[in-house]
Amino acid sequence: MIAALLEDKHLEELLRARVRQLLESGQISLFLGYERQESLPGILPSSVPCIIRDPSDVARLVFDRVCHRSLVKYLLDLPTGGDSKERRAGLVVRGCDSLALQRLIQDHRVSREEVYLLGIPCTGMVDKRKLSKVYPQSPSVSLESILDDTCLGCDTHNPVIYDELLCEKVSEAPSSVVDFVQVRRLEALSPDERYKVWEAEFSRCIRCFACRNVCPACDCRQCTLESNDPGWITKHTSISEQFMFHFIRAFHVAGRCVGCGECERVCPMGINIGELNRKFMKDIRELFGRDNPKMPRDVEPLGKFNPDDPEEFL
Amino acid sequence: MSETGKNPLLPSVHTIREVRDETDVGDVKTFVVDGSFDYLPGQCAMVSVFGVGECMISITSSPDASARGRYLEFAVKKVGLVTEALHELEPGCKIGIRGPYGNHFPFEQWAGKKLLFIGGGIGLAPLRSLINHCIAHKEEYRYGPIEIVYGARSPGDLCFKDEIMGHWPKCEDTTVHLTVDRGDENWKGHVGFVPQFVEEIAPSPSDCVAITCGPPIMIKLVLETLRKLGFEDDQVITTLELKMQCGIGKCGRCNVGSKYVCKDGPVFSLAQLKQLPAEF
Amino acid sequence: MSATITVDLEELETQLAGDVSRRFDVYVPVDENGAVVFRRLTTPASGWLKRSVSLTRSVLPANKLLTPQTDPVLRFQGGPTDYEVSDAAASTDLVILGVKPCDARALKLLDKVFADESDIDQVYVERRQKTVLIGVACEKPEPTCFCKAMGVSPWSSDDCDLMIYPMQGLEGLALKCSSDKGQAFLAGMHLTIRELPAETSEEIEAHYRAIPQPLSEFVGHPEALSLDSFELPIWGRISERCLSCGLCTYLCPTCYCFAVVDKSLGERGLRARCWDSCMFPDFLKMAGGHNPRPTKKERVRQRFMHKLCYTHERYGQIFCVGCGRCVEKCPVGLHFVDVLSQLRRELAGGGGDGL
Repeated sequence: MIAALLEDKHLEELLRARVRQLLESGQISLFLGYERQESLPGILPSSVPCIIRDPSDVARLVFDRVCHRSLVKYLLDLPTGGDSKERRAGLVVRGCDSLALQRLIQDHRVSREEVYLLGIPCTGMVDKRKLSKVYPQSPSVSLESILDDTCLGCDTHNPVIYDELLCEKVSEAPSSVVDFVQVRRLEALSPDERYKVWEAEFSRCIRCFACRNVCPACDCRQCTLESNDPGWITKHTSISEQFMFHFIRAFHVAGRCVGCGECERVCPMGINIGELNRKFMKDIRELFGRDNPKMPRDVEPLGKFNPDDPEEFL
Repeated sequence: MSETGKNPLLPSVHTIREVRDETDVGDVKTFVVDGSFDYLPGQCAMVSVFGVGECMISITSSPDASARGRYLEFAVKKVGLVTEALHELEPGCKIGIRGPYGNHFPFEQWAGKKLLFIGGGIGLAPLRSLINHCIAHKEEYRYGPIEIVYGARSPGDLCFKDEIMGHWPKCEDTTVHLTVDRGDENWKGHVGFVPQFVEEIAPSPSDCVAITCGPPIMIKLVLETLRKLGFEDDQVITTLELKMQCGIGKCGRCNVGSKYVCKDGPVFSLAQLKQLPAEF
Repeated sequence: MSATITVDLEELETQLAGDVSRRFDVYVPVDENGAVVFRRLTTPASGWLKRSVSLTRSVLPANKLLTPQTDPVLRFQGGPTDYEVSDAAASTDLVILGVKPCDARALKLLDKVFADESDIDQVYVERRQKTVLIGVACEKPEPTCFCKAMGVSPWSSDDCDLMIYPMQGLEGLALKCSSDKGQAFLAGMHLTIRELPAETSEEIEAHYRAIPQPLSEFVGHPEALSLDSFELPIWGRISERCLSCGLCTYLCPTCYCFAVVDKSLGERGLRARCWDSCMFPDFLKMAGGHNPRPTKKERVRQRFMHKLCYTHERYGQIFCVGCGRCVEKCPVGLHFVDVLSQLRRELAGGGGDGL
């Protein structure tokens, strides 16, 4: 029963047929998609990223509600230069993925011509933790009750860039769904109380860099967190270094975060990293009048220096 | 606090006695530091600049000279943060040293054999300790003739000039062949890469041990040359250089297969290397 | 070693929070926003012991308390000509309560690295000697647990000093001593002890034995990999989805790699051992730029070859205790069970030795 909620066999057939055509015609040299992991007894079903190069492998491709990772950052692993055909990749993009890809394109990390996008209007992925509470026993579960919180608040179900859509667009919820409830709660705290909240959160951080590595806005060629000159961040994990790490990352993605929620989903320690990004998002909306602060644009509010800026520094 | 002597990563603090420029461009300096400990040729030590970090450096002084003069010598090429910081230091400055680490060149097993040393650039540093040790113990181990082939990019890049041009050629039964990749107006010697030069010299493999150390590409080509000349894998000795952090086989860094370079190496015969996954 | 006993839960709780906490640093698992983490017992609310022993496995393995993420080596102060250096390696008398049998076994494996080879790490050994491990039998394993497949029994007291059996229906809390250290520690608490009859002890074991662990059956009993597996084509394929984060290694109870890192604050500074991960691209990158493991293929291969082949060659053990943390947390499902399955298929297809 739950399995039926997760799958869309019709869409999968469309996807496989189209990818086969694209590979056989040579329009793309590889396809970034998802495959279902081997089913393990008692363990939640999970679909993971895969790369398809051979048209006879398209049967591996799936698209379901447990395709959690975004695929766009894998584009950065592909070889650049030389024969550009090597990098001509096809991939599945949902709304959030398309924003993430826009981010990489605007940062000149991926060029639009290199990618062929199969757009899938998306109505949400399930939350593994919510699913684990009902899987596999509960006979009747509503989809709404197991959807990921980020997906519940999503205002970009339809891809904003694509080469073709695999199915009809879905209606978008108004963007007011992004209501910054938790941000407002944190803003209401005194500085000391707020410090305590973040101290508790960051003290759990183990610096595994999963958040950075999934983040589409973290696309620097050389991350400052790995530079030992200047060694602003070392591998030491004193609380001051933890604050430094999270602040550097938050400021680097400020105004560039696309709100995909991947950082929070992968954090093994359950740290509310996303609240920092949402605080910036809220400020940008309020201070710069951006209706949709997640939408990547050519010039970001915090990405351009204006000589007439009333502030002297930055 | 742990009791004294229990902390395996605690270095002792040594004062730099002397700093010598080895090359014209100043990218290699030899540091002579006060104090010594027992070690054998090929062994390394973790040298640290406090506040910057540690790095593994081979000990280039020979054990005999080191014990006599109560000093240790390290030839250091400027390649990264720690070595850059070391290069800033002058006599009187203090550095941390812990060691010795790793195995040593198996010179005890070469009794009666001819010795062929092949070095490139800073790769002469560990060989220098061994060469001086072998020269000093030539009678004890009844070594045959010693041949040293050494090369660098340019005449100005040749290290340990006093020894390669002065002391070693004067030693009994010892020949030094020098080469540079590119000569200059004053260079009268051989011009060419080390592996080709070895091929020209064509040392005989019979009763000979070849010990080579230098940049990875040079080692690779030298091994090829030695194979062509008829050297067997167990007649060829080299050293591996890998990133190291602890020096005692605990930190997992210099792990190649089931070996730790810092503990089971850095000295390996070619026969031993071939048993390891090619990941170094 | 000795018979199973029961003690009064509240009496034990009072002792641990009182007298024991004055003599030892006592660490217990707590639930922090849904993440189970070990925290120092300072001002516990009553009922903490019952809560602690009923918690599921911690996100970070208990044994990491003996090899902390930032572990001081030395402190220095002064300038280049007058440095003063002091030993900063420390060990305290430690009680870790709530250790799962998988994490306790992991310490046995780490002993082989730090304590059983030449060049003993005396700081680790001293900590090990000064630590009392109070295990807790697994009442409710996670679906991702497969310790039985890796030769760990989720109720065994073998690798702990004391073992708690938190099963229902007993009067008091069932305990078993499994070392002299545990015996002495227990005696030091002066608790009212009731010895259980042999048949009750057997009932307890039967209770835990009967708790199913489906994933263990799926995993079976893996054999070590041979060095030939280094060349298998599978490594390139499976590593494509790796994110190059260090999550799997930092959550793994048998991963122990570290870096030695200096942090300087003006004239003062600290050198520490810090966790490091072979999954990070720069793990092996040398100052000159040479990197023996330049792509994800080499790095993912290293992680699994290290656990399944190299440690077996060197220490005679596969370095996995089946705790299931990588199975649960790897963001792209590149975990021990999945890789093992794929390796088995590959070896079966290629006619190689089984696993």
